[in-house]
Amino acid sequence: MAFRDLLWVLTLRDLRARYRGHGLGYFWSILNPLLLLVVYTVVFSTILRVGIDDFVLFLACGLLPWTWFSTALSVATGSVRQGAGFVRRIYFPAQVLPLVAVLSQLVHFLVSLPLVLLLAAVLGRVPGAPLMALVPIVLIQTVFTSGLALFVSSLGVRFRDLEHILSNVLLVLFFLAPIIYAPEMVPTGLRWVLRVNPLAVLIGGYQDVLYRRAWPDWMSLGLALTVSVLVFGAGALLFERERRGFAELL
Amino acid sequence: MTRAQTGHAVEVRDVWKSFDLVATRQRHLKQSLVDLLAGRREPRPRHAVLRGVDLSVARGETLGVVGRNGSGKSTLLRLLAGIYSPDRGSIETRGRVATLLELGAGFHMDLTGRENVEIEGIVLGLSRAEIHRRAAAVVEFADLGEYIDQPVRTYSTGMYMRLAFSVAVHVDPQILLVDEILSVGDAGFVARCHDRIREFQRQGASVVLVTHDTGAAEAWSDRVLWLDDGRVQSMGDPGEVVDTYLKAVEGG
Repeated sequence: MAFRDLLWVLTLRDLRARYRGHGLGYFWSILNPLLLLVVYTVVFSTILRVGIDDFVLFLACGLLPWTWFSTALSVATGSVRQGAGFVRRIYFPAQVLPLVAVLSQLVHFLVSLPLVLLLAAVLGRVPGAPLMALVPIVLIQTVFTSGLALFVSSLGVRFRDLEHILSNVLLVLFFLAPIIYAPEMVPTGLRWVLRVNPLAVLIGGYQDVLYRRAWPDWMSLGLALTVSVLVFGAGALLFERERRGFAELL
Repeated sequence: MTRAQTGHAVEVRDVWKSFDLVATRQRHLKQSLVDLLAGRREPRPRHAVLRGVDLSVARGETLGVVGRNGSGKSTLLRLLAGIYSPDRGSIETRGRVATLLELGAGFHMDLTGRENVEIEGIVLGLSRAEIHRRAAAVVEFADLGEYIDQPVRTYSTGMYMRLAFSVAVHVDPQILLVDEILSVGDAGFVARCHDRIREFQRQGASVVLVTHDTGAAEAWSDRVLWLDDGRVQSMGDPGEVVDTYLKAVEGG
């Protein structure tokens, strides 16, 4: 199918361009999360002392999926404008552009996973059978992120300031998911936030599997999947409606 | 099938198209929200570019389109390609459409010519299997020698255009939309481009050729359309239409 070929070849293009020339490509793609990991670990286990065992592993379980999520959305916002060379020239299913942003960031996330496993092994927390649960968790996150990516990319064509707005929204979202704190630390009255936020549920899932070595909470994941599918549907609809005007705006 | 063979490749009925004026196109979300909350609705001045265009192109026919700057020629071409959608009216095309518009605008500078060929082929509607089968022919036609495996950023403009043109003519379109006949690369390459377009015509592909070069329009087309201020001024025999067009332009 043409759309799948397009998705594949453009994702490959992104990855090739990134890893081309410098053999350090892999290093660069994990440098930023690695740096954050070190900084946060130093701050939260020696200065602010949040009191989470093996904090560095706990943090990695949340930080890496977060990096995938936030980078994908930032890139997706400008993706249609970046792809003007296609959109202005030929009838083109522009939906692939934000989806490519999500997929190529997914690849970066996947290549950084061995690092987490290594860390877990070093700390004596080798995950068992629940590791298999990563497959549905990653899939749900792909659907969720893609839906939002379609949403921001279609608005990003018309509204040039969206990138700035998005970076502020992401800053807030970062704290609405249990990345640098554990869910148990949240006052009971506020925990519902973590239950309804799909991203918080997903990150909880990564922590269950890779940090707590347990099966994730399937009920919550089911809810996250439902929300993700709805978000995806809404994003796809909005994109389809806006798409006809893209070539004129670019 | 019989209908497709006898029918038109392109059929345009009463097409209208206007655009938001440039200054109002890009907005700021913040400002839009403030306007929305304040109940302000900004008036959106629009400029009518096409005002009720009818035309059809038969299978195997070449239609030349002439007209002054701003008469709507390029807009018409983009509508035919499906890049813009009309405000009113209908456009039907039958068969694969390829455009020679902003050649190579989608190339990735850090990737090699060969890698870009694969991407471009798929963007133009081929499957991966198809572009892999044709890649050798594309590369040969572009005639870039060893540069084909170098990053595109090392190319001269001429080389870049040659590669882009080469992909576009190898997707075997049934409808080819051309904005300005080519002046890419050396005389030899231009001649080969022209040969290739002639070949399309012989194979029964339809060509729509937008140009300022009335000589080219006459030489290439079966019919010529003169577009003036978004309306079809006249359409028919290339010699006659070009003559009246030139008289009108020279007469001011």
